[in-house]
Amino acid sequence: MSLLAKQLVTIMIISLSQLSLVSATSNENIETLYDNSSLIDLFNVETDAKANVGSRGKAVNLLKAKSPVDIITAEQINSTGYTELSQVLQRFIAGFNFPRPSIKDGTDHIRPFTLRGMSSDQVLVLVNGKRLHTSSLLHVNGTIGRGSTGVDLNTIPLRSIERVEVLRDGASAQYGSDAIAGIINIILKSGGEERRLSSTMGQTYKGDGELYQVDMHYGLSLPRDGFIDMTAELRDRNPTNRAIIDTRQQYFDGDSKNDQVATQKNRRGDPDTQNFLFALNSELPLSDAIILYLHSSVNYREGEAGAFFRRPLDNRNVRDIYPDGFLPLIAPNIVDYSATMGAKGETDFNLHWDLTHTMGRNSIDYDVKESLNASLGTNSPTFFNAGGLGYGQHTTNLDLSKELEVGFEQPINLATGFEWRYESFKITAGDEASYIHGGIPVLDGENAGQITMAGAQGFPGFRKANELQEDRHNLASYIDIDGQFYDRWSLGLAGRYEYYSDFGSSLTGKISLAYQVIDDILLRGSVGTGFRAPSLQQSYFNSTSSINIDNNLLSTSTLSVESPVANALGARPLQAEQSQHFTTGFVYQPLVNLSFSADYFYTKINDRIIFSRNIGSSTSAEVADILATENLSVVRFFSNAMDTETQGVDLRANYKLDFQNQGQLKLTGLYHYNKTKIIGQIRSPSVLGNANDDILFSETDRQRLELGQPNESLILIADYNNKAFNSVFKLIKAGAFSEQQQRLSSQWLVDVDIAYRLPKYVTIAVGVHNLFDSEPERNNTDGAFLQSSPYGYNGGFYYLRLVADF
Amino acid sequence: MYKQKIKCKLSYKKIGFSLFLFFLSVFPLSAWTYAADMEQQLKTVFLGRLPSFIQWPTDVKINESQSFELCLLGDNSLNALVRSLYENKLIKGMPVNLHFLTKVEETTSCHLLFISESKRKNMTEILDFTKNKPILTIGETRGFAEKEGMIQFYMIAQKVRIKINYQVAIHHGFKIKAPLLSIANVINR
Repeated sequence: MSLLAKQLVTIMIISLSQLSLVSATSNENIETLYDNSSLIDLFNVETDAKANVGSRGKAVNLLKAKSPVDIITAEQINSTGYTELSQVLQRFIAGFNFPRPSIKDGTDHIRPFTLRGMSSDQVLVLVNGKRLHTSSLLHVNGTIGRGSTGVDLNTIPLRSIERVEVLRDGASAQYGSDAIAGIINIILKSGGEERRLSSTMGQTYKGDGELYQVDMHYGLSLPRDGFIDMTAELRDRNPTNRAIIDTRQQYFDGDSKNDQVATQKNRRGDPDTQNFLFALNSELPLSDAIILYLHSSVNYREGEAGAFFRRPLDNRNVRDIYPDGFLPLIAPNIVDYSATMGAKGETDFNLHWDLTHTMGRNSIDYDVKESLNASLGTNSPTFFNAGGLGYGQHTTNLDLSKELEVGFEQPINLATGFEWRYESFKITAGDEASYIHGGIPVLDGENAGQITMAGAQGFPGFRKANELQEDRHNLASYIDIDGQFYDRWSLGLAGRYEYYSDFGSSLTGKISLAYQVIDDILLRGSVGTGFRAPSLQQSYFNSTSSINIDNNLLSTSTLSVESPVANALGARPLQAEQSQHFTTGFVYQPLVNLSFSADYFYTKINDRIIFSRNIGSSTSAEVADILATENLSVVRFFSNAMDTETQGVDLRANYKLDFQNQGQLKLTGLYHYNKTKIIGQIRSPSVLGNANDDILFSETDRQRLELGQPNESLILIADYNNKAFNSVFKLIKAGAFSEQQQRLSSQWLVDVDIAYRLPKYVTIAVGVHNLFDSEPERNNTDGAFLQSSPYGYNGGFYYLRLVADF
Repeated sequence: MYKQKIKCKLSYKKIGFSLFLFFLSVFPLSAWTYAADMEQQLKTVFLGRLPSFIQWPTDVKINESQSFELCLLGDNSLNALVRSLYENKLIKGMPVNLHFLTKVEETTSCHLLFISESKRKNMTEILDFTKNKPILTIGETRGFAEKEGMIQFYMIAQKVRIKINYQVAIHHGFKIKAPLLSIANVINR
């Protein structure tokens, strides 16, 4: 595979080089368009990609933008065969990572992504330029993104998306909290013209993970060029399982069943999920000057994933209920919806205004199936409701902008605006049986009579004591100036002030500059500051489960920073993460159809919020005394304890070639490199002992942050289409990464999608993800797959897609 | 094994460096040319190509002995492209006379009038002025076709689309050929 991959790289590079020799310059291009293109050809010409994100003025051509922006179009999305937005972005954005953790509770179902090595909560996500709410889930297990709460990108139906704009630059000064690693702006389809029904079916080479999806997009034109575009998707995906054979002793000594052939007991892979997604985008012009608009999305997801298998001989088992052991299933019901309503227009004085309100909510309600509460003995239920989480957000914006003639080459765009945001976070307790200790000990076996565990096995429910409802609000205002102020120089200035009711205020600024050296070379750069407000989940999430230590029932807890024990251990109310950014690069477009860009970035984050390792009574006598006050054995909490720096480069090359037979070849090369480093000592409270990195943040945590993700990625895409065919070939390299003290080498993957357009608007497509069934390296101790593999470990997947336009 | 990896890295570096040198040699500075916005280029091309699919009213003198009067009204990013493309071109077999106008009153002799976005606030007055005149009106402002403009450019998924107000065109005596109608978004048919 590796040799083949290298050969493919070489072939693509040579092809790119040779094809460029026959390209046309821009003047020749317009002449060619006029002389040689039929009317239908002209309708099919794709214009330059333009992005709204990063500028408050008009959409900006990517090759003229002051900050690097990537765009993924609906055509590209359709040609991937993927059904989740995060997976699509992973295929088109080098530096976008989306691993597939398993047996990690809620994280199996809302998987965190990262951008340029930074967490998903350090990425601002917008829909049609309006802030999208985050998920209610806090990732507390040992996965990439541990301790973060990000947006669940997979709540947006793929077929509703016109394009995705990814700004690879800090932009807090323009858009507020979270825009540290960048911004993802999802633009929904508009115009009311597309009507499409499609279906995708597929499965892995190993015969599991069967996928069935049906989706429909229906557009309707309204008067005055208004529109309604609606998308609905139904998806059913079966689980995959790549668990290793469980060779441990299963039954008590002397039981003849121990002689049975060992089998797979755990379920390590994708969860079983059923999804319903809906999106709506509409504009209704009331007059030439006022347009009402509404966009919304709804996502309902039922999932089911395994916890760790409880062997028959396990103290946590009641053998009268599960004589052969059991695999508890964690089954969250996830509801996510958002709606943005607003009006925009232009006054007689050419002042553009936009008044909008966005509301969004995400909730997770956990069910636990095929489990038990061992402390309830043989009377234990096997199904539990374990409670849930809820997060809501309301945002009201007023944005004003006006082009001003101030004597420069071009008018400058002056924008200002105000924002009010209200957030709330809620934890709801589960059934009493999901968390209580019923008092019944281990019933049989050599440990009979010992205290057993409390709560539902697999996922103990949230307790009454964990219940809370917290909220906060913030106010913000900004000013943004953008324009070509002298000859070939463009300048952007932005400043933003925010006040949060919990941690206080933040003032950020950004300067961006672009210089058109000659017509085809643009130099660009920006410096700025940014911030990320601590999420309510990080400040207030708390949970408790019980463990048996030396036949004593103790608790292990995730503590809110306001809890007395956390306070006694030195936890303080969380403050905002503060960031500084520097980006510089160039764009070189030697030909109309050929462009290159290279950008270096540096991001320093001060007071980064970390989720501590388990702090137990063994830390010190003083810690043990503090924990004993609430009968705790191990606790974890959040703190602003670390400074980090991340730097790297992004390289991009695009080439487009039109053939005489109305075919077109697009070649794209993307390369990303980043390195994250912790600066100095991690600041642990003095009560925890001598300042030592390991007290709050273990070596494993440090490795996960600094080395746990591929520090480089390469994506090469060849996309050929003509009237009948569209074929897309992708070669992807995910760089090496570390997990569990092991360095896993880089992995190459190949994706292929071939579509054939039948007459009468029907398209049939077949494709393969990971054509050569490439696998990541396994854990060298037990042979299991590791959690952080960027492309998972399902292996090859093939699919069939049918599309009908009507 | 370790040595093999080093070799592999070196070969990629060599390829990358060779590629860099290759592009430097193939594209010397003197050969660089300005890359105009493709959307503007396409709209410019459409202005000259659409008349091939349209028949002007019979009372309009439009034949090879005349010139084709192509007018652009308002501040326009298309002006430079139109000038460079159509200065020596023929539209409907006629040499092209270009007019870059600021006032609607100057449009009386136009065969085709492109009204730029910059005139969006005066669109109603402009279209009132051209009403009942044999001028093919083309615009790019939202709602242009519904306001009794004849042909409107708009964008869908990075592609230029055309909306035709059929009744308005017919009312003014224009005939639009089927190939254009078949691929345009036709309203008021």
